[in-house]
Amino acid sequence: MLNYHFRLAVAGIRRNPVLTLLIVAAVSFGVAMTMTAVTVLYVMAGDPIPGRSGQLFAVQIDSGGPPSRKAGDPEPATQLTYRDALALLDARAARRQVAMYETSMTVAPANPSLMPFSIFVRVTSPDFFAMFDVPMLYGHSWSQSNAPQTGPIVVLGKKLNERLFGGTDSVGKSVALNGASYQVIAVTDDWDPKPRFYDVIGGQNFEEGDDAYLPLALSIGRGLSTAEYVTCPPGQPPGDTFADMLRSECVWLQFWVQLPHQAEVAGYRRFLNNYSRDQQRSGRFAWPANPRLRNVRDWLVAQKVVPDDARLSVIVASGFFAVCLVSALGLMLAKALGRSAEFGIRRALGASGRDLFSQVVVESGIVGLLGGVCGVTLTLLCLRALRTLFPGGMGRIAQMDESLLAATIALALLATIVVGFYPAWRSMHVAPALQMKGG
Amino acid sequence: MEIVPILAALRRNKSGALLAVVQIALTLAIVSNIVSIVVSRTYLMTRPTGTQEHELFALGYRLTGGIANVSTLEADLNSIRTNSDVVDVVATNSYPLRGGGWLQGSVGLIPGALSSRRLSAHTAVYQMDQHGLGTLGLELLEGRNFNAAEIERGQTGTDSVPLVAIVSKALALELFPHGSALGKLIYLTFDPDRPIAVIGVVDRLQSPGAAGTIDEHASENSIILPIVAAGPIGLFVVRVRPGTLDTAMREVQDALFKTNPNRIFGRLRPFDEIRRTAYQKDRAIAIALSTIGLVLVAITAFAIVGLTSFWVIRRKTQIGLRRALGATRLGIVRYFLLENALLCSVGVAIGAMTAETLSVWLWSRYGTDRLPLFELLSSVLIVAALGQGAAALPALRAARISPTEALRAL
Repeated sequence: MLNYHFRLAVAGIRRNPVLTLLIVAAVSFGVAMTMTAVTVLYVMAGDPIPGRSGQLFAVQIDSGGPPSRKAGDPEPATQLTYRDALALLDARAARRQVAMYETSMTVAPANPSLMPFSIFVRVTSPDFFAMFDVPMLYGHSWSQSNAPQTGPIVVLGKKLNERLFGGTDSVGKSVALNGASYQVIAVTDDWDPKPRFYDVIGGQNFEEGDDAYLPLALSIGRGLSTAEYVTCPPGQPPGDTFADMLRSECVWLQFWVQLPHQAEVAGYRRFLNNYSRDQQRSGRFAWPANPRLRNVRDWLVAQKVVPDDARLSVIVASGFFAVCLVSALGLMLAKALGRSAEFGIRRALGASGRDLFSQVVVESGIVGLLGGVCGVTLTLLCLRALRTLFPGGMGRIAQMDESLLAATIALALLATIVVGFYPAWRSMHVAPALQMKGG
Repeated sequence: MEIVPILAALRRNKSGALLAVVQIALTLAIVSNIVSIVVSRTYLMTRPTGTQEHELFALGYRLTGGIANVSTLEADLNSIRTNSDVVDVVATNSYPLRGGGWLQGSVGLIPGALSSRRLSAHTAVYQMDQHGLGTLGLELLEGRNFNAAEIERGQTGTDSVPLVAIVSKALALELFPHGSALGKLIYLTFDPDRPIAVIGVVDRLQSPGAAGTIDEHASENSIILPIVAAGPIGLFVVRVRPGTLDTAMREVQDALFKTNPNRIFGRLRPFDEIRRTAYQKDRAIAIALSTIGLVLVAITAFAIVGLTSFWVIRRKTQIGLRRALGATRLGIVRYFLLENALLCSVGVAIGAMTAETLSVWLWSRYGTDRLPLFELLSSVLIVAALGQGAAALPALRAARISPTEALRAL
């Protein structure tokens, strides 16, 4: 029976190619726009570190107080001062804790004919790799114990290792950074959380990650300053030397902790409150304790990582989809009513209302499938357009994968079949005699 | 006129009429909001920086060896100034539209009041010598430029608070809403012994982060301090004679390479490119939304053509009858256009209300600009015209139906 419906449907489509084409076009455009917008939002708002996002918490200490922000805004600075970061690191109140910042350095390749180039280096305390589950290609990262003793060491990112050593195992070799020699102790594998939740301060949340990693103690000792935002309380500039900066009330380090259990979260919250109150008591903070402890998801929301533009585009795209569906509905209705005579004859020859209903629904399904296939092509085009329009971060996001492909076709199919119910229902109620007379 | 028969016909075909109305209404609601967003983005993108952008480029470097002090910096600048295509050059800490960085500071009217919003203002802080105004091409509204004696020169990191400053008009107005800022004292620190006198006001000088904000103070508040900081990392803004940008950029780089070859250059950035990069996202969104709007309008148009054609075919007999009974071709065209106009007006009315609601909702949730009446009305006109245009084609075809042919089918 389905086969028969199918053959009839194909015949019906061929009888009215222009109308069918319009319906397919409407459906595929609607689906493509919606899926493009959803892809972007999906990746942007996606969980950057599945399985762990509930355990990782960003720490904020209100070291600037109300004078450092707009009136009525209770949100403390997103970064920490060096003294607070150091104090929290030393306290070891969480399962794992990491203080970090990003610096810019110059690499001189071993081959003297190659020009030196700039890289971004994440300067971090030891827990980073274990806490964020960074996979290692070669070697092992520095651990809590050996960081201060061993000399200048560096962990290379996979890309930088490819550029400097052709992707070979470079552990034990040395790299010239800012003119000094550092020994490679490990190379990370591909690791690229989207968005780069642990460092959203610069607003470059979807850009490529870090090129290399240096120990915090070593980098502070060498006076490597941050390449990112430094925010100082009004009237308290960072001072002139790096030592002044370390003592200042300027914030420039990110601080994260890992708290696997709910009880530990509550405990750490208490710890942060106590720490703030201690600072208040010692006269450093002239305002009540106001720390923040947010897991990855809440942090991304609080930092407005998913740009409103992405949400805006989903709203626009949904509206677009609605218009396309209304168009498709109108056209399908027109098509179905245009075949009243045919249906009348079939009714007179013994076809039941249900037969006609399923006939029209099958037709809608075929049109939906066609729309879905065209929609996939269009989505690919849209994503490519997005990549050209927004180079950089967006290029990594606007990608089509299997689930998106399936979702596109499914959406087209589902939407057309649902929309097709109304014309199908109308067709069911064609009175045979009246149509026969007219025909 | 023909309203009564039209209404009767529409009543017989409620679902078709309803669909047309919904289609028009939705299209209008979305298109008008798209227009509004695109217009406001375009406005953002076209705000002037206050500089002579087409003649400027920026160049950053890092010295990996050799000496870096005030005199080598002067030597660098002078080697650039010898180039005949170069109008002037200035060493600076940043430039408009550069992006973020530690440049935001706050200035106060009294030393202790920096945290009081009534007596202070946040501002971008530029550090340039007397060449800054000429190089950037800033328009001095009041007062004067720095003179050579006022410039604080030193290594990066040495303690220097200048005695004078030039501010942008926006900052001057925020600090001194009543009367001129000229000659007034402002404070950058808590230190009451370090007042800074405003000696000049420039019309406009955008902040480095201006592209990312719609806050007028954040984008327009700027202060220029007469500071030259020498160090291993440097940033120059160079102004060249019009049309010589490409050659001048290369020559300047070569000249600097000669004074100290231990130099890594950042990308040379013509100001036009700086602006493009800064507003890349806004531009892309404007393009993407415009495309969506156009496709949407096209789909609506096709759908209206399709639907009207269909109704024309369905009513072939009716048209034939009317023609046989004496209706003119014009009468038939008018009938269909009037019918369509009726549907369009209802759709447009509902659409306008939906558009306004959507706009208010977007405004409250996403801080987009409210839909201005003018843009709503233009969108209404566009959509209405589109609806009529799309219906005209099938209506003309309907008029060509010959009465005999239509009646033969009876």
